[in-house]
Amino acid sequence: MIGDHNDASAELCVLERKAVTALEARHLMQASKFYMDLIKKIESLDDEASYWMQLAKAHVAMSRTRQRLGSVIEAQKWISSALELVQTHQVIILKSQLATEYTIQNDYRTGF
Amino acid sequence: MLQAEDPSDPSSCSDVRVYYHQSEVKRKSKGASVALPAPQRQLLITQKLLWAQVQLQKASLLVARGSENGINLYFSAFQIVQRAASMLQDVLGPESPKVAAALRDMGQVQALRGCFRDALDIYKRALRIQTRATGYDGYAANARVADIMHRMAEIKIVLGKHRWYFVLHKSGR
Repeated sequence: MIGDHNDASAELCVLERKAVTALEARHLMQASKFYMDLIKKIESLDDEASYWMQLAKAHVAMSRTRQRLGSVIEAQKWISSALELVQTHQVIILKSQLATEYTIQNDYRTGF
Repeated sequence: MLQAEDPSDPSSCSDVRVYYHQSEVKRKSKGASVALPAPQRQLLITQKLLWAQVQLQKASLLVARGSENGINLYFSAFQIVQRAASMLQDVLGPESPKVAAALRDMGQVQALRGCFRDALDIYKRALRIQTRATGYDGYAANARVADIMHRMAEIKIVLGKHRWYFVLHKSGR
């Protein structure tokens, strides 16, 4: 299971690196294709939820690339989906963070 | 589809921002607060950076749209960039090159809104941070510094300071 997780992470890293390199070389169409591959790859994973930050980053990068290619409408679609991802996951995590803070404080107060 | 936020309407704030705000207020109100465990703290920082990244792109798209149905989107863009810049400043510190990049975006929006003097002040801050962080050496550092100086020169010329033409020429754009 851990091996599968590492394999997937490595594959995602390679795809991301390819996309970034293409973007730096200003090969926008190619970068867009690599980001699309990356997004599809993440979405096809069983534990997609654990890669949500990478997915959101890919959506933002896709939005930037599409904007640079002159397609503002498409760029807006990608940034909207990135925003949705961030909102969904961050709200859950911030709630759990507040719960942790509360637990730590309670432990401190009760002497544990 | 992105919607322009009404600046006067507090309910237009996103849920995330409200949660951030609440959590920050709670943390500050505790005084000497309890530190979060390191992995959670790191995760929170990464998420804040991601949030800022999303906001900056959102603002950039608002600037690209300019105005729609008679509504000027620059003010919304300015507010979004401002929030993102202050988030980056909180997380990375005031001297980070990422803060300089956000300030550069903020200056651009102010210039588009016609607030040239304000834009100039913001660019000056961005330039100071950028040169302190990366110096003038190296292609990337030079490109970023030249970009900010070019924008400053454009504003100076608008403000009637024509001797800044030489900066426009030197920045090579």
